[in-house]
Amino acid sequence: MTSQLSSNPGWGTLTRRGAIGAMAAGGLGFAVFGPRRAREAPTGRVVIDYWEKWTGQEGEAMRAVVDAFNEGQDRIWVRYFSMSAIDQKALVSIAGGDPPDVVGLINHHLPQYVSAGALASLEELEQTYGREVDASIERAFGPDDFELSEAYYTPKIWRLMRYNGQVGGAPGACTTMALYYDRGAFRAAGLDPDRPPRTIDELDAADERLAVREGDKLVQAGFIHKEPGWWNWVWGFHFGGRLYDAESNTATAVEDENVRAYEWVQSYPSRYGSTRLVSFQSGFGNYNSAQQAFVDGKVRMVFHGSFVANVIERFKPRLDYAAAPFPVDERVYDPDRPIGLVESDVLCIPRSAKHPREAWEFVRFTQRRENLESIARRHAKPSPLRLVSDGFGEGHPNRSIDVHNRIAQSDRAFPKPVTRVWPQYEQEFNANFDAFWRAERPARDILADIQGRAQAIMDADAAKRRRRAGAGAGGRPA
Amino acid sequence: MRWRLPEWAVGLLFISPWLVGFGAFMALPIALSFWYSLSDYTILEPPVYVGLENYQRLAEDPVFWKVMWNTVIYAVIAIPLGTIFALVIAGLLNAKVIGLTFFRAAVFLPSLVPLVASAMIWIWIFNGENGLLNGALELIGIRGPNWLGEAAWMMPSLVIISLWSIGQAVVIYLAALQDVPTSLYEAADLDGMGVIGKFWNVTIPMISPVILFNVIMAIIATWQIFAVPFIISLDGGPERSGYFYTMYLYDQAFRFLNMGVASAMAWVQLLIILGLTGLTFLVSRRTVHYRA
Amino acid sequence: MARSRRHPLQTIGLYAALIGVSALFALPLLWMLSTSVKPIDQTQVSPPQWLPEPVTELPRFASENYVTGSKNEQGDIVQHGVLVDPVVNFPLYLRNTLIVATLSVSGMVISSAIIAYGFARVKWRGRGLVFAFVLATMMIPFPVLMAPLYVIFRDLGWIGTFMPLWVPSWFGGAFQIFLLRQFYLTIPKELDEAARIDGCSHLGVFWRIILPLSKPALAVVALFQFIFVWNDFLGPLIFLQHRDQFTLALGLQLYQSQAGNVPQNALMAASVLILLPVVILFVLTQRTFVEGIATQGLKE
Repeated sequence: MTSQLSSNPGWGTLTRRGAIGAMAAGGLGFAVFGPRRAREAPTGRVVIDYWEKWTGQEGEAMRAVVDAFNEGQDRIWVRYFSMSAIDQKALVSIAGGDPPDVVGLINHHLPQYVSAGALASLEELEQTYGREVDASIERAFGPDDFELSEAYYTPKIWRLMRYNGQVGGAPGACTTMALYYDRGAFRAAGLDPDRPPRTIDELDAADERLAVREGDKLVQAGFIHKEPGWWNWVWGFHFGGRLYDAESNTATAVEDENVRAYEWVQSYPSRYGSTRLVSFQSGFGNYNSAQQAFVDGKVRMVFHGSFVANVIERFKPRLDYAAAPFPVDERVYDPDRPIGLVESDVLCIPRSAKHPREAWEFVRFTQRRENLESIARRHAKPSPLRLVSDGFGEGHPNRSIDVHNRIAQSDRAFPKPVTRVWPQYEQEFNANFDAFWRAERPARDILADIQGRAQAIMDADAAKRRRRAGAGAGGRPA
Repeated sequence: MRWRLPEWAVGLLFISPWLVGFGAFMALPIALSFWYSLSDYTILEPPVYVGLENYQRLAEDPVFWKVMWNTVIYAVIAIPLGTIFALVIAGLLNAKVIGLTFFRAAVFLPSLVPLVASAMIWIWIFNGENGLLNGALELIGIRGPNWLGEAAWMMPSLVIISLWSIGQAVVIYLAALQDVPTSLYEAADLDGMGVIGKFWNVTIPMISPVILFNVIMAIIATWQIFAVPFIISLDGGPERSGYFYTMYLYDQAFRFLNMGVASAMAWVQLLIILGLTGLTFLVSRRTVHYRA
Repeated sequence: MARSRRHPLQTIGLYAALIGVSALFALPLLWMLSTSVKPIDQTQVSPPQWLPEPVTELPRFASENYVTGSKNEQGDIVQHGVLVDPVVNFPLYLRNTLIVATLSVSGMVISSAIIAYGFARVKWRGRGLVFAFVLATMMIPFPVLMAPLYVIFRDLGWIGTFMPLWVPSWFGGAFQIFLLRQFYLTIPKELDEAARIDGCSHLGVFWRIILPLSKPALAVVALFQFIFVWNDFLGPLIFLQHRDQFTLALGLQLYQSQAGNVPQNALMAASVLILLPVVILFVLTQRTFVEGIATQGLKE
């Protein structure tokens, strides 16, 4: 066969060769002269690298702050890098000894990072460099009311920054989750748009009124747990349940509250038919599009973060929506203490950062009220600060931002369970959510499976930690 | 006459790049992987020797058995089906048809589509509500399933995708078919064999070494299936029905930072592949016909 | 199976089968193309339509999806054209891919050509054994190596550079060595023996006789390596860091998966763009491809 690899140039071959040659030359030329990103730093400045995980509108929010910092002083230059899978890449760059100076993580990354000793303590940095950095910031940008303490931040958010008694980072954008509902659809279905459902029973009742069937098909849903499907583990919390007990390092997925919650989840496919629901849902468009189910009117109530307002503003600005704390089980309902998931971005400085002082100065700059509020605004998110500025709500892209602020201030706002193995635990919920959905097995059994596996992972992780501590190798990075 | 290096030294010099590359990018990683597989290693902190604990954890890990099961099932369906399909199509193409270049191009081109793009295309075709496939099924009165949205349909969907990209195997078989001497077919004609008889008694034995080679390569490729299911769903889809061996290995290494467990998985994979390849050779010794 | 002996009905059946099979293989690609020139609302109609409505607007729809982008009621761009997407910079990824491809392809061609000579033309003890060993390494899949390779590259400081993607190509590949060795063996021995008698060294024989005669095989190696780099997903996924360094395959996945991902028509447009160079290359070099692939079945 190999002998067939012969060349006999004819007319066709020559033109073909010309075309291949042209392609190769074009490709080579593009490789050499093609587009590149300009990121030259002015000479004479200390250059520090910042890794950002958000893209698009959210990514631009931080870029604006970086630009303001670079322009407002002449000693430090921050280079902005857009990263994907930032948590893995950052961890590894820290392990390799070549980390960025500042990296934007999310609060649930902290346990793993802090346990491995990968992050500098902000309190230590503040003690070391605080005075000179404060002075330098104030000289360039004017005085501010920053302090690295619970007095400055919303208590819940401040707590998210700490793990094992260490302040692992400073807040960036933060958000809480709530129920978004379509007021127009409420009116059309004879529901009071000013009286959103407060309890699960009321949510179910509203769902019945809002659902529209056409023969065998569902064409409009009231509520669906799987839209957008990013928080499959969250439902038990709205029944008063928890998933993890930090004290004893145990997974508590089978608590009665959780079982009730997932029985409730199962009631939806059993009412509508799981296949019909899945097929209905596969027709939904992507989150950031006019075809997103809530924007498009296919689902009239969704569990979402405040950031969904940006998508509505973009694709259907006339949509008459509002947010309310997500309904809870009657037994735990308390109008003054809403329950809701709270999350926050965390700006961290790796322990092995090359310019800790400059990194701290940049982080310190981002924490100024005007910067945090500008980031929050652009993300359509609530402010992480204890004192919300008077003008913050006015012109905020999310018309219900007060609801999110209230949830953030509530003592019953809850974060993702604080354990190093949360990624695996969450994956269990994602992998098993369809088992709930198909309702072939009781919720309790599925939860028991999830708990069993999560516990095994936690035990293995704890055993490893203990062994490392015993071997005296724990704590610091290699 | 000039002094020359002895031949063995020249030979080694010529192949030295491969020796270096093999040492640095294969032998060393495999050796390291063995050491890591006996260690607790998170990348962040130095490895600590733990004996066989990682292997033991795998044995007790239901997700490990799930990905193993998925991978084996996928192989058991996709490899025989793909081989039969490729042989049949190659047989059709071998029938001295006009427009061979065109037909061959149509069948071959999908195998060049980048896996990422291929995944995107099929996710879109398999869409339960607006997909092309269910649209077509609806025309003949069938209500199609949610292909990638239901655990039961994940595997058939992935097999369909794999069948779409068998073009390379078709081309290999076609070349092998064209190599079968016509005299053999003429002899079979004299014996009064039909088309199927000839295919079974002449063609298959004559190209069996090529089939064997292809099956072995397919086994190796199947154990590496990653990009398509990874893009369909990071976490493996409903009930991990689309979660495969390499995806779990990747997650253990780069998402959960259990380099030790990931390395143990790598070693298990290596042994399985070597074992399967050996087994295929043994079985084939009786059935594969090598021309003298 | 000569044509003369085929019954007319058989012929019709054969062509029907061939056309049917080709159509099945081509449909997904045509559907991708079709989706990429439709506005988003038309991608969600049932039953599926192959052409946009009205079809005269096709150029406008196409240019919206690929370049100019689509606007909302206020006239703000809500979906950028694929080529100018502000987040996923496909032109930049094309450049990155071409850089990696250039380095990787040249490395693979040069190194494999040299190594194969050592197996085909230099006589040394244990040559057959080592060659069998080279072939055996084809059995080792990349996933087995990726975790430790990652650690090695990290210690070398290569993570976040293109180096892990192209440096290993400079040490030859088992299949490529096999392919070139088989080809060298078909070159008459008399040619280099004559040259050796004239005092030519092995290097001279390799350079003056073997290489010039092996161009077609080298082209196969180059082509395969290019396609490999173009399609590779796992390598870039593991070894690259900044979005600015991404290759096209990884960029396409980023485009699909970024929070608030993109609509189907834009996604299909991006897929078309990535596929297009491969299709053109295939059309231009079909024979090289087919012959190169066919060699794989050759096990002596």
